[in-house]
Amino acid sequence: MTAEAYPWRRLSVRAVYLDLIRLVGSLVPGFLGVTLGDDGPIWVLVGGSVVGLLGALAGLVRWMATRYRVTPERVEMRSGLVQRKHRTVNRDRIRTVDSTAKWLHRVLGLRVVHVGSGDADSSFDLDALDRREADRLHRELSPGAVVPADSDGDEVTVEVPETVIARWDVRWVPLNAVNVWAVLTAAAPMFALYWFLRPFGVDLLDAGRGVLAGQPLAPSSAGRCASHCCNAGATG
Amino acid sequence: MDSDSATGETEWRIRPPRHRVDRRFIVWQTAQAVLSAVVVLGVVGAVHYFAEVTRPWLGPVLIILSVLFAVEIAVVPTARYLVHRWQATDDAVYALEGWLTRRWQIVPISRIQSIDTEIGPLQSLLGLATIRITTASSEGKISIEGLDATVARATVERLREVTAATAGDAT
Repeated sequence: MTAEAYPWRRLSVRAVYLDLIRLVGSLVPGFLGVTLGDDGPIWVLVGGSVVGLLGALAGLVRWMATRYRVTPERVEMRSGLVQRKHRTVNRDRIRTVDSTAKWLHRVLGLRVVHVGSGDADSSFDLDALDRREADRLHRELSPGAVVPADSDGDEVTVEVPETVIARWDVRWVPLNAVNVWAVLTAAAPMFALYWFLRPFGVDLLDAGRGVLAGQPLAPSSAGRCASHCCNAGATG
Repeated sequence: MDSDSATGETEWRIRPPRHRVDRRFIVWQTAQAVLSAVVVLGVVGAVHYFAEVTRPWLGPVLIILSVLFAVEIAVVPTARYLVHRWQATDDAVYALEGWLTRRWQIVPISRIQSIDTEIGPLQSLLGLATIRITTASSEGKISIEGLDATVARATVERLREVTAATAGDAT
């Protein structure tokens, strides 16, 4: 077999940093929940912290256990420490190769590469790879690239005829901005914000009227909040 | 047309696939059933023991659960072992499973999207492995549970070669 020529690769080391950041980040709400609560811990914050911790630990385990490789015929991924799993997808069955990055991934230069082959059960995610490594995988798996690119940077040239599917058209903007749902699109977040700010003593409707009437926004709402808090303190 | 086939007297029978899974499948499934019985009966039993309010109605539930688990531990693994059959040829993968409802599955090699091998902790102890073969459809998923790890490896290796040699269906 030529299998030895294609070594198993790991996920990026920076994925560990990402998980460590998450680990520390998820400790914060738990700490606040324990220290800030006057009568016992605030369980919502502690619970959120625990969920975050478990997620970060799962990420670390995933980094430890995941290996993948690309051969001329197929892509393989091994994962799982206790429940071991070995997935093989032939390259001609691969339908899509996407890469996505959330903001923390972007800061660390990481990408999540999703290799799709039709059904969720036969697809897999590589979470997370180096940006360069993700690009390399993209190139390797794109149509025409039969041989994986060399690791020392020699790129395999890919000759694929390009077809224009759609071009930008200015008329799309009014088409998408002016319709019935546009009103709701704006209303839903405002509604959510209104109910979110209510417990903090900020009445968004009042504030809006104030702005319309020409009063400056900040003093009125801040003053109302302060008086609210004082009242609460006095009665409590 | 032949009169026999016209009257429907020649009956077509589906031949079961050739191979059985490994005998240790029974041990594996029994162990799993025992584990789930311990967990479920443990929790229900603890509630029964500590919360006296629940005793009048939880008692019968506990008895029924115990009987069900006893059947699951004693009978089901062997019954499933006796039914399970599988076979992988150069054209297709066949599987037959289920102890109350029988299910025949055939996946043509040209439709195979991915081949998985899964080894859980219990399977790892017993030297067993599970092969899962998926197609692009959510319906077409075959699992062959409880194969000997060596047999599983050989089968997966062979399926890999066969699928690589078969032209894709280009769907």
